[in-house]
Amino acid sequence: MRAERNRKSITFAITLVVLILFMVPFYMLVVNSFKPTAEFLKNPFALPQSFNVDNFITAIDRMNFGKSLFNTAAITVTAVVVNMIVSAMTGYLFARRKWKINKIIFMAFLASMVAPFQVYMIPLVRIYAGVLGFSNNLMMVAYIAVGLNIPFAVFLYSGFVEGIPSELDEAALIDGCGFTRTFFHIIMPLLKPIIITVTVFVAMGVWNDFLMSSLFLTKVDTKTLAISIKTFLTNHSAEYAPMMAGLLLSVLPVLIFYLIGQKYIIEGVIAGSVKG
Amino acid sequence: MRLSPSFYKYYKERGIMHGRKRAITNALEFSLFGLPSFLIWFSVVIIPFIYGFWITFTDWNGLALHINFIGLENYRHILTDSAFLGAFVKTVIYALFTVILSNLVGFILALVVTSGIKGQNLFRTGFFTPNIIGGIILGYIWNFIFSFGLTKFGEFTGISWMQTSWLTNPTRALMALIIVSAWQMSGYLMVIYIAGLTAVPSDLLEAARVDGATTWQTVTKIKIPMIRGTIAICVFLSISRCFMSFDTNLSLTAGGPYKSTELIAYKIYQTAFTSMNFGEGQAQAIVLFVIVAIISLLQVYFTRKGRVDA
Repeated sequence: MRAERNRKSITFAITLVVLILFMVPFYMLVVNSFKPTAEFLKNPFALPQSFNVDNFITAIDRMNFGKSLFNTAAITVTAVVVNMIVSAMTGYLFARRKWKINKIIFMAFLASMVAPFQVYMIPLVRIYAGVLGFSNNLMMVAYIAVGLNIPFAVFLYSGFVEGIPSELDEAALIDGCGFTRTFFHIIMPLLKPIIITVTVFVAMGVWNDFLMSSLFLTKVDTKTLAISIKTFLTNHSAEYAPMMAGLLLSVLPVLIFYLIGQKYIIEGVIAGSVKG
Repeated sequence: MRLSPSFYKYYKERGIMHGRKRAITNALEFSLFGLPSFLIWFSVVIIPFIYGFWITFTDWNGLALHINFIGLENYRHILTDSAFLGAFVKTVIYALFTVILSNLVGFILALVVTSGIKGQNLFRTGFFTPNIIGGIILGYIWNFIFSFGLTKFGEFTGISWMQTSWLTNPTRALMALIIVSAWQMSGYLMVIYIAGLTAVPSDLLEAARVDGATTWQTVTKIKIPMIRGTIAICVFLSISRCFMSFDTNLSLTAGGPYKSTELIAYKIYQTAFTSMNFGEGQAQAIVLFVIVAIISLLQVYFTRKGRVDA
């Protein structure tokens, strides 16, 4: 027994060392965001000589940080809320009404999940930013994010509703609750766990999205965090010192959420692995 | 809606809603509950998909007023275009190493974390961290590390091949991409492997222990065969993620040096939005779509097979 316990302690120690090595990039991020260029060129591994916040001031200014953060949050919140309402309702409909049309749409949803975003990328930009003129429109980006996430969300919601006994709906109907009221008053509150999962999945995808948003949002005032971080490394200039500060600032909001709700966040992010 | 017998009786006796009234109610329910998501999805997914197919048969560059219909010319061109084929080959090499590395590391981490050591939650949370941060940001952090961290490390330790930045050498830049992707993905795969491993019946492992099976035997003879379905998911998931990889490609190497690390998704972006060749870019995207679709179908096939066998 003691040998076993020793072995476990050794395994624990080794794994901890591996974890620390694994986290080195984040250490580098934190310490170098406080260093002026000359200092990190000399030694990028050491702790900063002083907590110099110049990099942060430059980064906030160059990234238009407040506005970028607001834009990112606005797109994410809108996409999550709209997606939740329409997908949960459709998921409920598909689980409770086995009409042929519902089955056909559901199959089409599932089939469309296979395609990578690149297939939609060029046409989306041409149609919505080009022809219809919605470039630099935050709500358009949110709308597209809603649409791209509908199949997967409906898939998760309908699967979850299947697990709720339909006797519950029947009882509500006998008591005079129509389909709509049954959904909002009886079913919706029961969906809480799956709402959390879908919300995290959609929110993480939208918050971290670069490719789609960068094609729509080109004006300084409409940029999101992932886009504005690009301003430091261009063909003409490379400003690593303020970039590190900007990266740290961009990571912090997500990291704080992660520390609070890591269990839900891991579950939500991993939900994508059941796709297909 | 499936009705329970007692309710069905009630439903019939009361005679609520049948015939036309039922049809109207159904239509209302569908319009309210099904239509909004269907229309949004249709406008964002189906219309662009069909429109995208049409674009591939044209020579549209986004500016010209006259759009010529050129048939399969775009497809013929990309299949003989050495730059596109090069991007494809590089993506295959990148995917091969990233998939092996990240699955190996993810699986070993999952084995260790589920072996009953302390701090399971700490390790799970820690190793998963890169997956909550966008690829753009991760790529820039590593860009700094490869440009200034590793070169300094080389200087300090006197290892000559570390003293020049990896990102300036074509082969090492691709290796850098593989390392960063594997670093990120192994934590993701670890969580899926943990889920698979915790589902292995503990009495089976207990029986093996009583029979004196070594750790190695338990892993190879019980755990791996029992989680074949999970392995199939992880392998195919990582393959398709590699083929769609874009963000780190942009922020870590930006396709460089000298376009040597342009992976397929990055190449599509370049063709469409740097060279302004929408038709050809979309044709490349369709090729990527076919590749990813085949991977997904194989995944479904092997996952089902794994489930039946286990």
